[in-house]
Amino acid sequence: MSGELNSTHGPAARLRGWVSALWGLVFSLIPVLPATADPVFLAEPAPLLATVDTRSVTIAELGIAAAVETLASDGAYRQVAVTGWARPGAERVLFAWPGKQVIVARLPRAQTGRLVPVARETDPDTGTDWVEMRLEGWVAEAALRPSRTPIWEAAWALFATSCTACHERRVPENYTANQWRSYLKVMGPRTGLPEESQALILAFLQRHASDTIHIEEARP
Amino acid sequence: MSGKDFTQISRRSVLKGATAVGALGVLAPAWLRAGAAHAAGMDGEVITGSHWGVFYAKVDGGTWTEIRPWEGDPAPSHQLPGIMDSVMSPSRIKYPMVRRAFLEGGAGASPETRGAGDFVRVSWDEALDLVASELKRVSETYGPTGIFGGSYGWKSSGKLHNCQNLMRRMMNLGLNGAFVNASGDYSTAASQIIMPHVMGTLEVYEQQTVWPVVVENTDVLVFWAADPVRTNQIAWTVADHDNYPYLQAFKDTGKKVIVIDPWRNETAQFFDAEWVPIRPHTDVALMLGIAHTLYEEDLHDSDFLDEYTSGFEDFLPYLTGESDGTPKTAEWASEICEVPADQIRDLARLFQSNRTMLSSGWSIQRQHHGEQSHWMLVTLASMLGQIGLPGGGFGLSYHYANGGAPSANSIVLPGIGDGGGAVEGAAWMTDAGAASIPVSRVVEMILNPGKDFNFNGKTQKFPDVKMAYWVGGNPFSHHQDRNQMVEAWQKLETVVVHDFQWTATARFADIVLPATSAYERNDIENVGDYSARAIVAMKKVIDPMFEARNDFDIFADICERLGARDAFTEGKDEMAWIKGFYDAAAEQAPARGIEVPAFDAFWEAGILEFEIPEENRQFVRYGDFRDDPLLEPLGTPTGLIEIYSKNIEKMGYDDCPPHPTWMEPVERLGGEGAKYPFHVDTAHPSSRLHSQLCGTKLRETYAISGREPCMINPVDAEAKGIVDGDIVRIFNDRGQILAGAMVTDAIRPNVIRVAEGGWYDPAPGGEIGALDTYGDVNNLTVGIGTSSLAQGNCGHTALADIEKYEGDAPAPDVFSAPAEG
Repeated sequence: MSGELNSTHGPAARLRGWVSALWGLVFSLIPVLPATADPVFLAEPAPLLATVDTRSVTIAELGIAAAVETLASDGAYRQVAVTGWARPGAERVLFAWPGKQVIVARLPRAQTGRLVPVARETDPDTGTDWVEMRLEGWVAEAALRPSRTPIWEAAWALFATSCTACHERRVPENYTANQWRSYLKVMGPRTGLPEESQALILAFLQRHASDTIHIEEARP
Repeated sequence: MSGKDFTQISRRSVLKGATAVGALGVLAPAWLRAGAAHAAGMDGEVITGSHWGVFYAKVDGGTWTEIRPWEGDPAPSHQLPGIMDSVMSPSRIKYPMVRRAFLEGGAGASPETRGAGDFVRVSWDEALDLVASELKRVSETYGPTGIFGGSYGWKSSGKLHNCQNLMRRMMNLGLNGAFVNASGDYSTAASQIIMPHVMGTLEVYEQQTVWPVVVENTDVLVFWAADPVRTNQIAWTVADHDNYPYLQAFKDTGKKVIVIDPWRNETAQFFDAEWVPIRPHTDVALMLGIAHTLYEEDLHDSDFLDEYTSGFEDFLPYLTGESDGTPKTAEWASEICEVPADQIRDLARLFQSNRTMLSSGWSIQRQHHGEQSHWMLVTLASMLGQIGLPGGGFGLSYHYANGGAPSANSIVLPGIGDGGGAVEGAAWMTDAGAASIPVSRVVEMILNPGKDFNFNGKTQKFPDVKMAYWVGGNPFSHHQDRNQMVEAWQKLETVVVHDFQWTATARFADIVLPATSAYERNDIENVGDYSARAIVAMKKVIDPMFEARNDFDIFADICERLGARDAFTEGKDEMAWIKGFYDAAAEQAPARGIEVPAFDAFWEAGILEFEIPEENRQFVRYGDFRDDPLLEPLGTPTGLIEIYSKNIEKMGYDDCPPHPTWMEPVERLGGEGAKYPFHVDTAHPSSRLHSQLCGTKLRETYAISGREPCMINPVDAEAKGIVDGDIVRIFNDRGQILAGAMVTDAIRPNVIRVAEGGWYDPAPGGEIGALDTYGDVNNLTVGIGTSSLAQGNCGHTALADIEKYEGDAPAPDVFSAPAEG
């Protein structure tokens, strides 16, 4: 299990678990992120804007826990680049890895022209072709975190509570990232949680799945 | 009236909309009036809910006297009177009880006396001290995998008094999560593991193409080992019974219905359907024969296969016989499944030339190599090319909890959590053994600690479990190979059970704690697993009987002894929790564009109903995938229906190849070396929920000569010298049961049917191999897993022989309390 997950669920974290209700407060205290080369992460779904302007065109909706690279900063907004993998013919959805339906960004059809292909790959197992796409735009600072740890803390608390009311707690790495997407499509609404909370649980499960946990562990 | 007559008449009348009014318990038995603690001042009628539906309970003089269905139930279950009787039955557990040898000799003393019925009454304090000290002792002595807390079963409805969650909550908060959990279930174990590889999702618990669409568009409705008329009586939450009017509506269209089943089940009788009396355990062969015909006659939909599936070309050489020298022709299939080859070809042509819905039950995956059944069904449906079209394709939940009933725009109740949010992940336990096992491997685990087992691509070790804590279930009914289970239980040091009736599981425990029934406490629940069309206040009908206590209070007291009471209760009492669930649900209302009353007004009204939007009456499963398979990919590696799975190929399991395959089971009718001449069909009962309500007067409406009924064809009966009403003995190398013969041509020759869920009643109690005098059919079934992939149970794999019982048949005594109970 990843160091990240252990730090989420380990003995030290258990203490923090008792005060999970305070996470909202913790979030509000997070300082302005320094603009560095390190990736930062989406704590909530957020629009990627063409310009720093409230009337700006939305280029894409970024997914929870997606990693973005910082290009520039401008007060409450940060210019970022995001990359993800798309199936030719389905460029409106970018996934974190080829063949793994962990959504990094969704684009309106009219915006797909902004995508810049940077790599190609054929998945040896499925024979499907994938193109890595890069996209640039602006995102609100408030949606970003310097690590995924607080995101997973919040997700775990929701998962452990909401996803044990009807059945025993499932083990994230007993299922694949793609299976989790399909399960949450059905099970998410049965929690009665707001869609953003369902998306948070989904992101946690997909990035701790049998076929992603090791990729996440290897992440620098 | 024989069981058969009752069944047929009552189900017909239910479908006509007749109501089930309780008549069984109008007069409470004398023993009950003398002994029960009843509160005055509760007289009147209250609404509550159950797995069988919403109902009103009338109380007179502190005694529950009448039960009548909610007027919003379109087809109330005829089992309602049994609910009332269960609460007041002679098999109630009245007091905390401890097995005498355990009490006198300590944990593990004389385990062979488990099941012998020798219990001693103790006080609640003594019992709770004993339980808490055993939890601590086992946990400290044997580490985090010493206790099995994977309790499984159909615990009563209700979001708060969810005893299984409450137990795990106690173990998570009071024992720091030191227990072995279980995953999956006994209903759909094979399918819920194989379907995610094939369709990317569970299938079995998901909304179907809704019934209005089926009634409108389906030309040929196939029930493949499914009996929705019987099995939709119950639901995991509170049954809505919304499917019944649609079943009637489909019948009224006069369109074709085909039932593939070894017996002419209640659905076949209701529709007067074409009955295909297949040889049990051979459904994959029949599907292959149909598939081969489609291919041979160029009737398969190659466009659909190209666009929406993956790996058909890898399956095809197997179908044609190119890879193994055996073409899976209709003739080949006919030899195995005993459906005539011409009929197999006709079925292929009929399915292809009409809008066909292949609706399947779960029995065909609850057998050796059960993973193959639904994989092949999906493959067949893919060749027909109607998946995602209105009324076409396949469905695995039309028979369960009223799947396919359109969903309401409703708010959803949360429920009590298992407390696991506060403990670390389970991986830290893996050195000592798996922290979670596939649920049906519990006996194998107890008998084989340290042994490697495969499961869905992983190899893990069985932990060394010394204590089992079971709540909300009756594994001595739902688990297979009963005598192997008795042997396994003798290896345990400590067994604790909560229940409200003396089930076999309670009789095989060391410490038995009397829990309240769902009708002696307040709770709240959604109505309709799929429709979610109401929320019901499950109001307390009567005060707890005898010394029964709520599981919540029992576990809170145990947590107090473990230093975790406040964490367990969060400082809230019963009504505070219930109100909390309702208020959390009510917060969803604005986003759904509806208004809901405040809690007090809801509780006063008792039920809150929701509207069903028109679009939900048009839902077509996989319609979105069919529209755009790239943007709406399935959750498989290819995003497509996987007829060939590279993931399963990589697992390299001999017993689960990478495409659907006809696999000979360990035993079957007509199989090579079959040792016994009859297949034992172990289908669900008509008048119980598994084993629930077996211990009620409802039993008198179906039992034959005091035993569980055994359906047998007249030809077989004559050959065996058996007549209707005879007591028969059914036996094989694993066990023996008595049953009451019901001679009927509603079952095909060479198959006998004993419904699962009859209460295990060994004479003498506790002895391995003892004669079961009532008829728990799981004495006869095999205890192995379906395959390395899913490790599900094989509750429908059993061959046996039958004979007229000439001996002195002991009267069943499982339906009353043990001597001092």
